[in-house]
Amino acid sequence: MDGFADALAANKTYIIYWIGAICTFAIFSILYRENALYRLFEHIFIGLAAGQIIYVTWSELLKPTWWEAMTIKGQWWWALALIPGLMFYFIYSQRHSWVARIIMGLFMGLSAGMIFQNFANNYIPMMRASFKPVLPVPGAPWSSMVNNIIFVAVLVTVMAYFFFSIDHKAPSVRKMATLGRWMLMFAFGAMFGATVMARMSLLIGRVDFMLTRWGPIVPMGIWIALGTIIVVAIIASRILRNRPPSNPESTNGDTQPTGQPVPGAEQS
Amino acid sequence: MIGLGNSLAFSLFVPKQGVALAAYMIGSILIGIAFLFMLTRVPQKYRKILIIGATFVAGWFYMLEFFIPGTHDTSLARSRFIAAQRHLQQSAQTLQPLAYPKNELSASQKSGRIATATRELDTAIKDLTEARVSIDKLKPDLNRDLKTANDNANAFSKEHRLTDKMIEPNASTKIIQQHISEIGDSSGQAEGAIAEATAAKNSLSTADSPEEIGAIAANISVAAESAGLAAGAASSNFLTGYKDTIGTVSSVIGGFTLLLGIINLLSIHFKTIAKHKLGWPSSIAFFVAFIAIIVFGMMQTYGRAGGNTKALGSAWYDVLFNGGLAQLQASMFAMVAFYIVSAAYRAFRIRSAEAALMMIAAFLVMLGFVPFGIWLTSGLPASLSFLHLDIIRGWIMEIPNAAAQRGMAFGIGVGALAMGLRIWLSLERGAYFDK
Amino acid sequence: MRFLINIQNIDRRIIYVLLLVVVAIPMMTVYFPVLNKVVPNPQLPVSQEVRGVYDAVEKVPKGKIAVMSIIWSASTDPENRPQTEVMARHMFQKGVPFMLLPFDQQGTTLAYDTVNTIAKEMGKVYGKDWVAIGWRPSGYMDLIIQGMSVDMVGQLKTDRNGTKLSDIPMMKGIKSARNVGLIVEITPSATLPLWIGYMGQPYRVPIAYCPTAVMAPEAYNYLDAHQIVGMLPGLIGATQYEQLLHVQGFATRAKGALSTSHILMMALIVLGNIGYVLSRRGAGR
Repeated sequence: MDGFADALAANKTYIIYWIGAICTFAIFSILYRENALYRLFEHIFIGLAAGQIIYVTWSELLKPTWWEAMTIKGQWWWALALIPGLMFYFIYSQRHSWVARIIMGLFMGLSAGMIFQNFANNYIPMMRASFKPVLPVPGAPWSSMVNNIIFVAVLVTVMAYFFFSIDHKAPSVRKMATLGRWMLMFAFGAMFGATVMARMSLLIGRVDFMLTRWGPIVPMGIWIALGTIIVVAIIASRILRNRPPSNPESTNGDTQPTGQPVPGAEQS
Repeated sequence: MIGLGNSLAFSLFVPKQGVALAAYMIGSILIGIAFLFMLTRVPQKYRKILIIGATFVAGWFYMLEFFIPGTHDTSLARSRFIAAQRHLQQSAQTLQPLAYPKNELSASQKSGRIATATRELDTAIKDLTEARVSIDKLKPDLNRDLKTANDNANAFSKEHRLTDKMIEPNASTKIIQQHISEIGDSSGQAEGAIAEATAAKNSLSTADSPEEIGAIAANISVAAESAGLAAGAASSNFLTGYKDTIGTVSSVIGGFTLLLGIINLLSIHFKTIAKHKLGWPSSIAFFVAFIAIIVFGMMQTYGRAGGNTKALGSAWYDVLFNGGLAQLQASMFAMVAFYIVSAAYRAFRIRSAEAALMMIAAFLVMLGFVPFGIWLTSGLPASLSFLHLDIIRGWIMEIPNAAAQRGMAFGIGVGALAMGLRIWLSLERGAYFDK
Repeated sequence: MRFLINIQNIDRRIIYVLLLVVVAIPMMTVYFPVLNKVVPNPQLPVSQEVRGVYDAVEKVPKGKIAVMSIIWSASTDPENRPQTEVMARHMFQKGVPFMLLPFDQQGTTLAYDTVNTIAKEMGKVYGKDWVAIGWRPSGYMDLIIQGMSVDMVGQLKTDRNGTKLSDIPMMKGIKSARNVGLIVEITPSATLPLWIGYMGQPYRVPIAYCPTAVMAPEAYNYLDAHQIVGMLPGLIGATQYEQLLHVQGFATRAKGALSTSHILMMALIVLGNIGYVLSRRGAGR
């Protein structure tokens, strides 16, 4: 057993990279078609995630701050904290689910009590920063004045669009709101661009793992075998496709999985 | 109020050891269970009042903590600090027009402004000094209080034979210590502000170029900031000291909710296996993974340092976490890249002028971020530097985007404020408070 | 013409393969270094917001610590890990002691491992140069920040190994938010207002924001109001920061693939629109 632990520790990186690569392939297999391997790994993923939550919650939060405060420091009153904790679980009872609402209400109340502080610190500096000088300031470059005018104009029009309580029937307000909508579209475009970059980064990270971590530890023979398998699989699927499908759903690989909604799609 | 809490703490909340500890723990759990049982017996008509009451009372804590301006003994200093901050801001504002390179002020206007600014500075320095003196006066008293509190705490731990491990700063000592440190901070900030303001005043008499005056005005603003912080440090009230206790207790109670979502998950997979539903072998895999990571994790935590159990547990945990969980989750999210490309190709159509505007912004931002776009325009001459895609991207982000985001933020902020008030006052209707 | 219209109905899997290839080729430099010469790889201009973060780290006063709030998990690892790396590296270089404060169960291990590797590489000592707190529930983040701002040790109690914070050398004299010189918020979610509301503004602690690119556009609003001092927008922010620190990590390696994947994205959108216009015209006739 001793030797096993040592061997595991020594080869841990290799094992991690190999398991990681297998996991990646299994998950990416859904891109081709819904399949059992993907579902298996999906279940493993959920199991690991749930287990890890429990482990971390115990070992990093409850053990040091709750359990050891009781058992080592002797602060027995921490046991009382179990009671409000248990109150949450009343949500599973049909008859007594209202007990859970007491404790939820308590925490919602605590958070709601901070609203004024939050508002004062988050929005008042923004309001202050919104009063930008739109008239020429002696000595300051003209571009900053133009930028300030654009900033204030965009802000005002977007707010005109956003605050529905103002009567949109007045033509001036309506025009402003339309302009605000345009400005919002511009901002949404910027957000879309940024979102694309974020998503690409995630894929690049994955590809980077496969190519610079796992790739170099794979022996050449396996690469060749893998390549052969892929080629054979493609040829086989081509041949199989020419036959009449026995199960129409399984050959229809073109069902689009639910992807991210694209802002552009909402326009239509 | 603090006194009452502390005397209660002294008499009741005494750390225990051994059998007494176990007895107290079990006792409090039993009392808690009895309490919960009683709660379930509460008649229908009082339930809503209980929920609303809990929400309402809890809301007051941070509300009062934020609005009550601080203890009485620091109130004089605080108002002086705030006055000083206002004078300093005024002084900086008076000097501001002199800082622009092309100002068209006459010599008399100039000297008038400098005189006003100096007068404001003088008042501010006077305020700051007085406030600092009054705050420093509190120190001896507080130190004496701290000594008494410490003596009490020592006597307490001797009386109850507490070991070193069991001793923790008790509430009263901690609050006095916090108060002392706040007053120290306040005094320190005031000292900084006085130094800045005095230096500004001295250099103001000799300065005459716009740059120099601009620098002095900036320094005065820094001093104003320090004065504000000095006021802030002196503004803690009798509730402030309990914020960390509430935070700790909340995070522990939050820890107890860890099973809330997982119970559902477990029951679904358990049923799948029990009834041999479609895909039940996957559900077995779920349980294996779930138990394995907990077991190896616990082996890692509870194994003897340097022992075999610990080594094995931590190696396997590492494999399951870094090889399994992290990779699976990263792969799941990496797939979104495929979907976004495919979806954009199929659905991002220019059907209206707005869509065109959106696409232009999106393209400019994408190109302005990635190295390719930067490379595209890197050959432009310096006179056309404003056409560099990264500059354009920066402009889009900082001007129209920031302004539009702020417009949205204001809308959301007002909504959140209203929502928070509705929750606090239980005006929010729906499944939450009804029944 | 026909081709451009028909191509609209292309099998999505062809697009997937195209994307994979386009991302993989620039990353192949590991195997084929010659690719480095083909792919344009300019020095990136460091944008203002990234420079703001750099300056903020440089300006942390002696005797104060930085708090690095970790809210990321494996899902945004490729964006947030490089940010964590560069921030840790810079603070180690500069001698700013910092505290890892994870609000995500995965993030606690991921960030610890990341920083631990860098600390070993740079010869830094746990407890003196950095400290890692255990996971704290993100649902109670507002209460925890409020508590920390008054009493750091009283709120957090122990580090992730269960050592009392008061026994850790780095935490000597660190009492409240007034001893915090910088907050680094590394996150894929909208948690910034909590740091601004309960620590950043009330105690005038500068906040360096490291969001994923998705969250970046919103943050320019905070940047304009000086509620944050700077920001690393997603992976590209980390790339620029690596350039500032003269190190080459994943963020630098990803430059080429970032370009090619975006070119593909834009090309596909343009192609799709051309097809759309053509097919509409065809239908109109």
